[in-house]
Amino acid sequence: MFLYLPKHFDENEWFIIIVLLLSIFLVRLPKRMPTEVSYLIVLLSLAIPNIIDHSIAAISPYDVYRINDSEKYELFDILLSGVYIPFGYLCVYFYEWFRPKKMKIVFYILSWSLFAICFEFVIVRLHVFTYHGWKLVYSFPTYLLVISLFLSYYEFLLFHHKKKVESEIHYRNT
Amino acid sequence: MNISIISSVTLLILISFCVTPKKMHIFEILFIWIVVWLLMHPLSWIIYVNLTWIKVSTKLGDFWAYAFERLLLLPLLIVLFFEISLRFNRKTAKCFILFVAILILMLDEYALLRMGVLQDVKWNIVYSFIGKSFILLVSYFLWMRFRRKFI
Repeated sequence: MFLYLPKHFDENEWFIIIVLLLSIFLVRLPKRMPTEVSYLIVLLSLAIPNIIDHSIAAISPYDVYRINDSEKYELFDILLSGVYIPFGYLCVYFYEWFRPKKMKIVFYILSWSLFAICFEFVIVRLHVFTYHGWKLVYSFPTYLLVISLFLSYYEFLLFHHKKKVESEIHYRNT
Repeated sequence: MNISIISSVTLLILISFCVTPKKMHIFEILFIWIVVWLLMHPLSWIIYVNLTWIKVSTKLGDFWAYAFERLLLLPLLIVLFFEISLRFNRKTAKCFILFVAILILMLDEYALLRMGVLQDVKWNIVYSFIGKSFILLVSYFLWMRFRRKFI
């Protein structure tokens, strides 16, 4: 079959639907970053879990956790990617809002990693993920790494956006 | 062996791409790269896991060779062909470049099959053409929209 439907429509499917519905409210948040940067942030928030799940989840030789009801690729596996959008977007949104400096950056990354661990604990309880080889403690360094890289990516985008705006102003003036 | 061939080819193309002057903005390159990831991962997951038309080798080296190819080589080739397409104004030239790009992507997949990184179960040239055209054309039209709006 091309794309499987859930075996049982229970808590994991409801959780995904509720989070997706709540994430619609993100567009109501006041704008804090350039639109093209927001697009690239949302795209990467979608791509990272997709890549990690594709590399170590349901596919051999690792196959360390199962996503949703079966080993097969389900409709709700696609929808699950959308659950990570608010996580990535809000992580960058609050970073831009508070602009932490020096040691505060470490606390910021640490707080988001702890939040991510709690979130993962909930989704494991709701059977969105079923571990067979993976442990929750492995996720913590993964989140530390991914969030640090994600914020560096945001700074990189901001740097290039600033450069682009400056060159446009320069071009208009000459 | 396979991983060293694929990584060497990828790195050589990547270095060549980095040192040549580009018409694309860095945001466009990132946009295309991530869109290709987002299109390719679910599609390949459906082909390998749900339909089992192709199998990925379970050897660790081959698995990572394929991951290297999927994450770096394929998006890089697509970005490279889109960059070339910007150097031509005529539509026929752009179409020709996209067609050549599809053929190169098919050739890349054929090479993986020959190397044993992928194992053919029910795969054929038509499916390969459809799969690669889908990824390339959807990413091309999304990129065009992004370019018109922001660049």
